[in-house]
Order: sequence, then C-alpha cells, then structure tokens
Amino acid sequence: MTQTVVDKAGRPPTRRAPRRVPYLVRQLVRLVVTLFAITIVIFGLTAIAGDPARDILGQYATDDQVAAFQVQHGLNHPAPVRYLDWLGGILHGDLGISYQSNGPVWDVISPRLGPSIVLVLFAWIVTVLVSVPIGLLSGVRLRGRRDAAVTFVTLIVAAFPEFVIGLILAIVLGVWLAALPVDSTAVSAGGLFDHPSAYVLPGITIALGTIPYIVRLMRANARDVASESYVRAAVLRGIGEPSLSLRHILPNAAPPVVTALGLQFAGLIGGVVVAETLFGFPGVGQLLAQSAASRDAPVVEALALLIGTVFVVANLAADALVVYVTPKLRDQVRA
Amino acid sequence: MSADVLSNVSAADLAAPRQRRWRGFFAIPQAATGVTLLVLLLLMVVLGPFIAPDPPNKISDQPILGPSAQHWLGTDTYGRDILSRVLHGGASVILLPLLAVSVAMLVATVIGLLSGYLGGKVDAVVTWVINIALAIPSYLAVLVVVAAFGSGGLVVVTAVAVVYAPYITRVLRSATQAVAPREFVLAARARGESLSWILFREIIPNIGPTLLVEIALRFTYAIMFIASLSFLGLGVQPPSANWGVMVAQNRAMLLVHPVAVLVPALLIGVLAISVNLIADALTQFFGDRIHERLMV
Amino acid sequence: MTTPNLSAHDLSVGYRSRDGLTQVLADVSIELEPGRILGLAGESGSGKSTLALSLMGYRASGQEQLSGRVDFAGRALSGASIKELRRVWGSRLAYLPQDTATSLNPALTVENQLREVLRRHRGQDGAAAARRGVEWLERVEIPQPEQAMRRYPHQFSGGQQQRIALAIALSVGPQVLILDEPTTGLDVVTQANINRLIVALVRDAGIASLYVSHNLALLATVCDELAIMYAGQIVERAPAGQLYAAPRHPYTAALIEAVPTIEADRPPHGIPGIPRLSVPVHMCGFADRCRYRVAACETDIPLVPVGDGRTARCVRVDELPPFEPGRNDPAPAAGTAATVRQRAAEAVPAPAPAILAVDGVRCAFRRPGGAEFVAVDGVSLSVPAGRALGIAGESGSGKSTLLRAIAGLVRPADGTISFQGTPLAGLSGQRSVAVRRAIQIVFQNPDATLNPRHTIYQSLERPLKLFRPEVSRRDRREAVAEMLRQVRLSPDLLDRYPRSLSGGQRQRVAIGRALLAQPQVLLCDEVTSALDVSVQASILELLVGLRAERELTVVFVTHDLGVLRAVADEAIVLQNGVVREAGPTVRLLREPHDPYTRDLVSAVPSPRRAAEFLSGGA
Repeated sequence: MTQTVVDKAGRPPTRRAPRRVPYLVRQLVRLVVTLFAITIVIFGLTAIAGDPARDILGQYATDDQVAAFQVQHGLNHPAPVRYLDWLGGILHGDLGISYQSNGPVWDVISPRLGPSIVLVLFAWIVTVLVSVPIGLLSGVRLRGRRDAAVTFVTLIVAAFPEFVIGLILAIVLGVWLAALPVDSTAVSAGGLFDHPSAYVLPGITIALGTIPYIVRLMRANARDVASESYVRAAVLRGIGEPSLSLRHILPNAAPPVVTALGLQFAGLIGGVVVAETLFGFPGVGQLLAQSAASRDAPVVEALALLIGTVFVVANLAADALVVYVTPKLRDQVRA
Repeated sequence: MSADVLSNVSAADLAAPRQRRWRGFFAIPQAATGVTLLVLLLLMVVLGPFIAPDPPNKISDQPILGPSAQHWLGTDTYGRDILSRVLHGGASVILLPLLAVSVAMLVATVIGLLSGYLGGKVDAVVTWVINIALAIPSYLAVLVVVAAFGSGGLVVVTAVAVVYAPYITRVLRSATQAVAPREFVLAARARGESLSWILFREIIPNIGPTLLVEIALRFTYAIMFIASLSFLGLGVQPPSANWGVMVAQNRAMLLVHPVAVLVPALLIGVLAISVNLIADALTQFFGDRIHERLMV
Repeated sequence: MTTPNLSAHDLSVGYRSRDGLTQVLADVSIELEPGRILGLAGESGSGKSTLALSLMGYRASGQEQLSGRVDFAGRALSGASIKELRRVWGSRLAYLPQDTATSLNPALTVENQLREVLRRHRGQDGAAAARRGVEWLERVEIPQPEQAMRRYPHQFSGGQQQRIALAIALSVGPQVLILDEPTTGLDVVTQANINRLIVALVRDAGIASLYVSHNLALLATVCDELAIMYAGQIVERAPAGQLYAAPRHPYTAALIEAVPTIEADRPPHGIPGIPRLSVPVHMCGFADRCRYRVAACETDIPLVPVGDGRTARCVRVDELPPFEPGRNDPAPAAGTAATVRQRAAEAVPAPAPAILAVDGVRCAFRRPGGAEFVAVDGVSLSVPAGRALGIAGESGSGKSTLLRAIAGLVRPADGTISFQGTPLAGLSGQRSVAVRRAIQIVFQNPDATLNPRHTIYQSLERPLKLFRPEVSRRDRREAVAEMLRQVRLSPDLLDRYPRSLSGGQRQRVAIGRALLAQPQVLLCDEVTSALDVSVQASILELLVGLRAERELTVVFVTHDLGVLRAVADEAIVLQNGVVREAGPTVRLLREPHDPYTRDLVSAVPSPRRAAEFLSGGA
C-alpha cells in the first residue's frame, strides 16, 4: 500500500525500527512474564516469613509433631526448591496441600468458585450499568447545585469502607425492612441460582465500593471532552443532542473509563473479601480471609495466584479494547 | 502498567500553588466540613480515654444490654461497656494508617523524584518494579503477607506501607517528569546547578501540592484498608478496643443490638469521609489533575 | 453597496465571574458583506475572539450580552433560541475555530464528519453526500480524496486538518464564514497556502467573511477591509491597503511600527506598557500608552468617519498629522537599534575570530515507539565575536535542539561544539564554570522560564552566586536591582513572584538573569514568540540595545523572518535538521538562493505586494 498521506511534517518518514512483533503477541508475552513475576513475589513473601509449623500447630505441639508437619508440607526443603515444586505443581493443576485441612487446596477452593464468580459478575454489571450513564450525564449536562450534589454523594459513598456500607445496607434492608436475607450461607446448599436473593446484598455492597470511582472518572472525562475544541466546533456546526453526547463525547471520554474498570477490579477484590465475610457468603473471598487468619499459606497463595491472574488478564483485555477503539492508538501500535 | 497507554500527564495537570492563601482553601465547603469533622474525631480520640466511664476491657456480668443510664451504649457479649470501648478504640484506627503512609511516603518520594528526573536506566528499573507491583492487587498482597507473618498491627502497617509505596512512587515520578522539562529547570541545568539543588530547590517546591494531595488520598485509603483488615480479624487483635475489631465482634448481635455495631462502624466511616473531604478540597484548591489522569 | 448579511449593532458583552462583571466588548458595530473579507486585528484582551463568537450568537458560559444586538438575514440572532441557532449554525453561518488540530473529532473518520453536516443541514446522505464530500476535499487540495475520506484526523498534518475543517464548513454552502485565527500555529508556507485557498474559495462563492487574527501583516495582505480592535472597542476601520499604508489612529500606527518585517530597514518599535485587558470607563483605552495623550482623551470617544469611508476612534484624529510608519519618527537616539544597525553596516568587516563554532553536530532522540528521530543532522556554523547570528526555520527544523546543544542541555550524538577554539563537553554539568558562565540561554515560554516558587530576587541571585562570587552578599541586592533597571523594570519587583508579572516582564527578568552572569554569548530561543506584537517589539529593542552596550555575541532562534531581519546580522536557515542556506541576513532575505529559503520568504505576508502574495504559490 503506497503512502497516500504525507508524513506530518511534510517530510519523508524517519528511519523506523525493524518491523515489530504484532501487538497481541507482545501483550501475551507481557502476560506470561508478569504472571511469572507474580508467582515469585507471592512465593517470596511467604518464604521470607520462615517456618510456620510452630505457629499453626500451637505452642503445645511436640517437636515430633512439628517435624512431621514440616515433612508433610515439604517445609524441610530450601526455598528455591519449594518454589519450583510449587510452580511445577501449578502447571499440572496441583495447587498444593492446605495446612489446615491437610487435603488438596483445589478441593477447598473449587466449591466456592462458582458462587463467587456469579457474585462478581452481578456486581460488575450493576457497576457498569449505574456508573456510566450517571457519570456521562453528570459530566455533560448537570451544572451547579445538582452537579455538586452528585459529586458530594460519590465522595461520601467512596469514603465509607465496604464493611460499613454493607452493614448499613444489612441493617436497613435486612433488619428494618426485612426485604433481603442478611445471611447468605444458604448459597452453598443446592445449585448456584437457587437462592438469588442471597446475592443481592453482598453484590450491591461490592458494587457500591466501585461505583463512586467510575462515576467520578466518567464525569471528569465527559466534562473534559465536552469542553474540547472539537466539541464546540461540532456545536457550532449545528450538531445537537443526543448526537453530540453519543457520537462526539462518549467515544472520546470512554477509553480511560474502560481502563479504569480494569484497574478497579483490584478494588473489587477487597470488596469481595469483606462482603462475603460480612454476609457469610460461601465464596473464595470468605475463604481468603479465613485462610489468612489461620495462616494457611498454600490456600492463600493459590487464591492470590488465581485472582491475580484474572486481574492481569482483565487489564490486558481492557488495554486491548481501548487500543482497538481509539483510532490514534490503533495506528501507533501497528507502527 | 496498562494505564501508561493513556496517561500522558502534562505540566498542566500538575497541582499549582494557589494565588490565594489558605483562606481560600477553607472557603471550599468540603474543606471546612472535612477539617471540622476530623478535628472533632481527633478530640474524641485524644480525650476519650480520659472521659470514658469504664476501662475498655472490664468484663461485667451483664452482657448484651441495650442502652441504659449506666451504659449509654449498652454492653457487648462480654459485658464490656461499649461507650468506653468506643472512646478508647479510635487511636489505632488513626495511628496505624498514619504510620504506614508516612513510611511509604518517605521512601517513595525519594525514589520517585530520582527516577522521574534522572530517567535512563534508573528509571527503567524503577518502572519495571512498579509495573510488577501494580500487577498484584494490594488486597491480595497484604493477605499473603498476613498469611505468612501472622496478624497484628505491626504486620499490617508494614504490609500496607510496602504495598502502597509503588503507587506513591508512580504519582511522584509522573509529577517530576511533568516539571523536569520546564524551562526554569533547564535554565538551572544550563547553569550547572547540582543535582540536589535542582531536586530540592527547583523541583520539589513545584510538586509540593501534588505531594500534599497524595498524602491525603493515601491516608484515606489506608484508613479504610486497615479498618477493613481489622474487621476481618487480621489487623489489630482482640481484646484490643479498636473500632474495626468491635464491628467484627459485635456483628453477631446485629439483630438484637444494632447500636453496638453501628456506632463503631459509623465512626470509621466518618473518619474516612473527613479525610476524603480534605483530600478532595486539596485537589480542588490546587487544581491537581495528576491523580485523575493516573487513576490512582 | 450590497445589503449586509450579518451585522452587529452597538454590541456590548461582558463576562461574569467570582470577581464581578468584566466588560470585554463595548459598542461594537460591524457588517459583513457577501464576497468581501473583513479582517479583525488585535492583541490579547482586544476582545476579537469574543466578538467572533458573539457574531455567531454563541454565548460562552459566564458571558452576558449587556446591550446591542446581532442580526442575520433580517432576523435577530441575539436572544434566539438554541433550536433556531442550531438550524443556522453550520448551514448558513460557518465558523472555523482557532485550534487547528482539534476542530475535528479524533474518533470519527473524515467521511463521517463530512456526512454529518451534510445530513443535518441538506438532508443529503449516502452516495450523494459521499460524492459531495470528495468534491470538497478536492477543492481544498487534499491529495487522494477518496482514500482520505476513510482516514482519521490524526493521520493528517495540521495544515491538512485545517483544510478538511474548511471543507466541512463550506460544503454545506454557508452565506457567512467566520475564521478565528485559522492558520496560527502552522508553518509559514502552509499558512500562506491555506490563506490563499481561503481567499479564493470565499471570493468564488460570494461568502461574507470575517477573519480574526493578531497578525496584522497577514490581514493587510488577504483582507479587503480591516478593523483594529483594542480593549474591546473598534478603534479604526478602513480598506486594508489604505489602513496599512496610512493609519489614522495612534494605536494602529504604533502596532504597524511594532511588527518586524523583512523589507523594512527600520527596526520594530515597541509600545510601552501592556495591552489592556478590558473595556475602559470614560476614557480612551489606549490613552495610558499613547504619546499623543491630552486631557481631552478622558471621555467616552465615539467612532467617527474620517473620510474615504474610513472611521477612527480618537479625539485628536483631525489634528494629528497622518502617520507614515517608519518615516515619521524623530531621529533615532544613539544606542538604539537603528544606530547599531548603521554602525554595523558602516563598519568594515574585520575578520573577527569565531567565538562559537559548531562542526558537524548531529542530535538524535529515541521516539517512544523505538524509532530514532534525527533533529539536527550534521550542522556546521561559526559565529564571529560580537555578531548576531539568527537561526531561522519552521517547527521541527531542529533549531531549538541545536541551540540547546550549544547550551549544554542536549548531548550531540556526533560532531563538536567549540567555544573560543576549545571543544566543549556535551552536557553543561561537565563543562567548566568559566564556560557555563560565558554561554547563557534565555527560553521561549515566559510562563515557565522562572521558577514560580522563587521571588524575582531569588531567581536573579543564582547566577551571581554561581558565577560571580566576588560580589559580596550585601552588594548582591544592589547588583540585581541595577540589572532590573537595565532591562527597564522597577526594582520594586524584586520581592514579587513571577505570577504577578506580565509575560513581557518575565522575559525581561529572564534576560536579566542571563546577563547577570556577564556572559560573552547569549543564546535566545524564540524569546519573543509567545508575546503580543507590541511587547515583542520592546523586548527586541531591549536585546539589540543591550547587545550594543556589552559587545555581546547573540545567537537568536526564531521562525519569524521579520524578527530575524530585526536582530540578526547573519542568518542560517534550517530545514529538517539541515542547513539550507547561510549568509548575511539582508542579502539572504532579498535574494535567497536556496529553493526552500525562497519558499519561506515568499510565504511571508506582505501588504505592499498583496496581489503577488495571493497569486503566488502552487
């Protein structure tokens, strides 16, 4: 294809670097390297702590018991060897042995995966459906008092720690209005969708942890874009709503929000852990908290790796989406 | 990391010292509200132990009492006076996050400054480390540390400090990179000013406001994070009177004695809100855009 | 005289902010006629952009119309509903905004943006719209229009983006076109081409046009009529050629004299003070800067006809002799630019040793994508002591990079820079104190050249501390105050912060800071480009004067050939990091040898040769 457009400065293109590896391949490599680094960090953190045998078995444990525990969990080997074992095991699907149950970590985790996934999806959908329109409207339309009100409310909601929000919701909706169950343990009995109402309170709690940030970001972006020169130029060409918001503002304001949604997933995790604990929801979040408290490192490591992987993948997907949607970036990565 | 794709922070995004003096700051509604709330809470935390009717851990034989003349907020499952526990329980909720953020701030500022100004290999290494750190959600990292080292205030403070340092470094690095190409810095370089002069006398005064906003924001997050960890039983341990611990312990009484749970919970909320309001007011006052651009 | 299409009557507009109401336009009356281009000239605070938008009936937030009205095709525009306005905007009234690169939505293809307006205002869609779009892309000289339709704005250069914006504006067939600084920020050559295009298209279609700009020479070249704005009022209006050759208002005359041109033998004269930012109350807005001021100037002054269809707003317009810019000045005092030039011209060129030599210097950067970008590609030059060398070029030519390499801020990848015969280290940190002292640099951006957190005294003190330790602490303050006086600033400013100084004042401080080191070479990087014309002229006057007093060697980077002429004895022209031509400034501008230089010179707007300019070019 011949170059039909003259280079920006009107001069022949500068000497380019050799043709680069396609964007997706580059990102995949990045993914693998990052995951690898994460495993090292996770394992490293636990390895630094030293031998947990005595802490777990208690102060009355005999030396024999301690020794037996160490052998059982391979703690008598040096750290690099343990790391490689662990890593090797993961690649074969073996996540290790729990300190608490002495059984495979996978068996501890797997029944809880389903409910948590549903819960997170629910929370995420609520987040997107609520925050994008509010943010867009607030940034483009609202001014003065109403805009300040929206800002104020988002600020307040953002500042409340999730467990406080969850508690308030529990008290208001669960106790006073008795509209929703405060205890979600029922979810573990029966199929995933047998008790839909049990998902609501924890789901909303999680969503409320993220919504304020997305609303603020969307609003700020929409505001910025709305005051951009090309939007005013469009206005002066006679373009009105809804065309203005949807064709001119949204496509330019959205990309950072997509990225933020990916990054916010990290915040979601805290919300999941707290909400599940608060409502007794039998998911991985609750397991994570319990295992951390009981110093069950293998379970925590496995969960951290699992969730961490999802996080990294989600972010790379968000980035790829942004690049795909933004014409300027699309060209940049192709270069 | 991924956000770098979009984050092109320019000098215009940098917080700028305001024309008007601090009086203008208090004119912002969030500022006045936030500072007032914070001061009130601090008063309560400082004076609390002196005005509490009972020692916080004094067990009595009257568990789960509703509010009464003798116990204004009632008692918990161990018969301890809730009001007293509340008055004693604020110190660690404020101090631990403060400690964590201070340590993180110190380390991160130095690294961020040097990395942002010097560029080159130093910057490449620092960026690489930051990217790895950002790839692990902070909650997870702290939970891993707690699983390995055990629960407790000190562990949590260290973990939070270590986990937050990369985020702070990123902000400061960006801010430094926005200031470094400005002509007055170039003029200093052309004059041959020393590195420490340039960093301390030319750059830092101009990223000061960003630093302030960052401290305020981090403090907010740290308060929420550490309270949340205490709620999970991973931070400050019982029988310590800590608002987060109280929420966890009194949760069982939610249906019969909600006040016991609500009061400490709301106090945490109000504390976080007050600091968040101050952070927001600072952002407005200085016109800081960096935090929005970096989505921190 | 044909009936005007768009007109404003006694329009007064103000902005309401936290500090109250500021009036920015006062009693402005203007008419646009089909097929004629009215130019609107002014500096910062003149209100020209506000007027342009008000003529559209557009109100920015905080803007209030205080009195008067705007009419279009017999109906009132001011006070019309947003619905009515939207019907008119884009279809009969077109607006080409100031920011050339962002009048186009980066997320939509060219085709989409063209079709959007055609669909909305002419009900055209599909193939018909696409065809018309391609037609118009051709008319604005976009190469390969069919492919261009499918591209996104960022894939075009700034000049091409503006052509596309023009196409979008004109494709609907408007009756009026308002252009707000449409070519500011573009290359001189691109500017010239686009302006020629605009004039041709507008005259062809009989569109009534308003062209707003700060570039008086440009307006005088392309417009039929000119109106000068100052402090929210029109102070003079006349046919373009007449106004430029024989202005009647003191401000107009002063403004014309402040513009550096490539032909003039006279250096530009600055106007003391700074442009007024708001409408004056019961007095002439220009009075505090005018040398013909009398007591009678302190009343409301109306715009009065002064013959030949011209108007002017000055009480003394009848009694003042007609201005002839350049010829009416009293004999220049010694030490001013004129005498320097004279002396330089008269002096027998003794073979002065080269104080600064650049030999085969190459500077390259690594782009974010990994590609290498060569900013300076094998440039050699030498500057004899005491002379002024001008480095001219467009943006991207490498001139700033070259200057920074000389200053020690950018390390050359290749080649040497020598001072007094000795090669210099690449970075200033590695150079000796003596060298760092001898070579000083002043930058372009007045907003960033001083540390906002240091007082003026603190900023000025540094070079003394570093380079003149013999000046004791006690004497420092006096030395700094003296330097302020030499750059025509009051020592009262010493304890103020940069934010309370104007752009011109800050640049003077920056120059003072450089001179306090008592350098032998002064490097100036576009030091006046960010300033208003009248302020720019004062700074240039200052530089030329200071240079004469201290026998300074000056290397001056600029993209403005008029400034080059005003300051430099010798000049080199850079393009894409390569020297295209070098030689004495006057000769180079009068008879350029190199084709690029020739293009550059012929692209400079010249009111005296307007017809030539308009027909010139591709």
